[in-house]
Amino acid sequence: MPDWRSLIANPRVQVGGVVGVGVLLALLGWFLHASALPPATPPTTQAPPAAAGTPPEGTATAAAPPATPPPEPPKTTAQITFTTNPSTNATVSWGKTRLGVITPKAPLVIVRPRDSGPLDVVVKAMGYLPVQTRAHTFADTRIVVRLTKPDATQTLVGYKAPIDGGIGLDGSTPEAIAPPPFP
Amino acid sequence: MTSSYTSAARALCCLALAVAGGCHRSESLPTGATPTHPEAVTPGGKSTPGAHPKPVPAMSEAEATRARNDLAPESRALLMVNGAERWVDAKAVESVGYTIVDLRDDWTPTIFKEEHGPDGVLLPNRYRRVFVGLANDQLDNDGEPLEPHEKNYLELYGVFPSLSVLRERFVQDESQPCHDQDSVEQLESVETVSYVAPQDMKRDELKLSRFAKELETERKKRKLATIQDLATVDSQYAAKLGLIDKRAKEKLAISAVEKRLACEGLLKPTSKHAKGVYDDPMRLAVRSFQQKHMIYEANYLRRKTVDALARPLLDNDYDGLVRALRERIVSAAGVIEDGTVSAQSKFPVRNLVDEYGQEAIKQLGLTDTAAAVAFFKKHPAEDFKTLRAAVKLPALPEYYADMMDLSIVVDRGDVWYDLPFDSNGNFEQHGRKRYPSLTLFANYNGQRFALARWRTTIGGWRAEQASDGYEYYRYKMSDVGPRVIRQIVSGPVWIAPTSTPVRSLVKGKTVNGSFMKLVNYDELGPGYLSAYGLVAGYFVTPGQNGRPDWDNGVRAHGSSDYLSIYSANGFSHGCHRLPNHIAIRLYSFILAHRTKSVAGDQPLNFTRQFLQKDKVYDIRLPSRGYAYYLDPPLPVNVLEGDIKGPQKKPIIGYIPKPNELYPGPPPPAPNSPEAKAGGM
Repeated sequence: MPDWRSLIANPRVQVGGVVGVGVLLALLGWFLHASALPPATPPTTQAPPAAAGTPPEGTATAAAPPATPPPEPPKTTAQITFTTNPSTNATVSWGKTRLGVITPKAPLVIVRPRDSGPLDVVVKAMGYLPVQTRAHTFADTRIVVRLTKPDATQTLVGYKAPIDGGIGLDGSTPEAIAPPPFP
Repeated sequence: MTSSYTSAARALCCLALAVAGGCHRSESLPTGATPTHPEAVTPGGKSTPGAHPKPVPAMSEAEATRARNDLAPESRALLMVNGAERWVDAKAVESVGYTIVDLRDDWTPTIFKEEHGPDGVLLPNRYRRVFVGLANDQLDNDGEPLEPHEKNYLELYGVFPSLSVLRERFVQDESQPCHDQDSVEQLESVETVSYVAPQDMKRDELKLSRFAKELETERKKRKLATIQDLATVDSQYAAKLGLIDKRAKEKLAISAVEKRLACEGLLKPTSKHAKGVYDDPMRLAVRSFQQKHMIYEANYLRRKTVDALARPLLDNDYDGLVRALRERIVSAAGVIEDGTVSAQSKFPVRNLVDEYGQEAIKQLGLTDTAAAVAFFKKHPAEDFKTLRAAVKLPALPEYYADMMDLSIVVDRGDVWYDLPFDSNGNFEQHGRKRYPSLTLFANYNGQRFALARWRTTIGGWRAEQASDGYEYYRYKMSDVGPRVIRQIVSGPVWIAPTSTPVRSLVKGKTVNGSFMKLVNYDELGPGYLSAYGLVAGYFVTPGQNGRPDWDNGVRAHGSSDYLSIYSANGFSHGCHRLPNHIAIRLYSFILAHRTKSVAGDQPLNFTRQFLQKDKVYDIRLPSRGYAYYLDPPLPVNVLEGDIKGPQKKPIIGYIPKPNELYPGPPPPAPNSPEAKAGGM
């Protein structure tokens, strides 16, 4: 099994290399696709449809079935597109490596070998809590990372109301609650 | 032009598939197993030995078993004839009643085989690649490459090592035995080694020293020749002398354990282990040893672990080979009877797991350690890319058929609804004499009999995180009454309810050279550590009058938490847990002997964020797993069991933990099915 991690040491090289392979495969696929088509198919102008049941003169009644496009070769890479919500500048790090920057105008696009395991990254944006997220490589993926401001944590699962946060639901002041009487 | 496209495209597809694991579909895979209609499905897509009706052989056995050295490795199987290896035509020998045992490194149990849809399109299984990578010491549970020389040791969790991995063990251990008579004697002199926590060691030593002085003083006082004489004449000193002797022996045994674990590569020189102390590095090394040798014990030096540590490495390797082969033989033969049903039962069944396992191993000539070493010397690792073997197994019992009348009964055993602590907040465990069990039954000729019975779990009192962010206790109920399993999911994903304590949803891991906290996908799955284990059957109440099934979140599933299954105080969140390898056998058997349709990967695209400390974690689950549907569904009945104690009904809602501070009264407990049963 190739150690693809060695490629990420320099992400530019890795991404570039994989993109290169992807482009080559895409070009090859395009070439094969194009070569499978009839060699000279002149552009045609579409005539208005004839009335139903009255085929125009000189046309074969049994129309040839439409040519089905050949299947695309399986992709060997997965493209991961990172954006944030709300849209802002953010960095995306994978362990020691900074993969790149998301900006309001441009998502960060990473290309990985397809089905090569997940990519666990941390997204950091000024004024927001850091977010750890995961990108899978089974297919091309768009990841919209929802950002939360430090003063809005009560909207998140796991937010812990402070003990001295006020009054209990029954109006009591905070205190240790004894276990209920033995049933 | 078209043909050039086709051939080029095929080459390209093959190139891409080669990257993914192979260019051709192997013969032994159930080609065409997926039916266009569920009723068209056959078990495994091939004839089961002894199943009805028996196929009429198209050739004689002599003809089928003639040597075929001309065949490509993918088409042949290894047959042992009078102790000599012979390559035969795999299809031919199968047609005359032989069973093909897959010894290839990319073998998976039936539940991870990739099936075809009704339209013939391959339905890929996302977890298959990881499962094969784990078995071959190539990937970790996340599907990322292992560090060089890192090993998985996952038998205990249902992932048996591939033949190449076992081969490497045999070859290495033959040259490095890690076994000496002194160590054996030191280990055999103790049955177990008492656990003394590192922080208590000094105190323990002082106590022993005090005992020794006390005994010596008393010996002198009584003018006896030895301390043993003192212990003989006065029994009050016997216990103290016994403890001194025990610790002395244990000290030597610990030294032998350290030596063995270091030699076996499990206790690394770089670890911060302090000699003679049962510290964390030692505990982790013992855990790896137990995982490697499939020892179901807590991570201490208990009897089975000490016994295995005293055995030669190659003997342990041989046992590992037998276990790995057994799973493949069971899978190939499609059997489940493992001797767990009492022989004294009204309808005793054969132990086919042992019977077939032993017979196949005998026919393969792998009857002892030396034979296994010779086999692996003869077959290099490369052979296990294509190696399959042919064995002739005894006929199946007459009740076997492609479509069997099967059912499951879960007996909850002794059930306590009472709180797990008293009125003063002191924890107390309620004793159980009868533990929960899961039994697979067959109906044949009007008789109902058990095929296998395993210990399982039911729900109990578990910690849950309420909407205020604090943990409370909640009774997690295992439903009672008739249900069905309509859906079986391999590589299932558990969608943690929002009540799951966030501490269990975060783990530490080194990612690309940097240690970080991340979402604990081990718990969510897919994976052997996941809450649902490697495979799950979903219990549902069938919908009536066109209504959908009612799913209350209870499943019978695999689990890595074997202590919860086998310990006196083990409980689940409502589900019925089985060790992963048993769950794999159970559902592989059901899928092989019931009509099924294959739905394949179930896209999910689930996301949820949660907060822990000052960081947000994003759970992303792209798939629910790989689904099979049974039609008709498999009947299940969950028996209420014996309700013990004064509390006769389960307590609803959250109960504050004793001696904890809370901001107010408990919030209402969520009532969704997954929150009620917790789904694990």
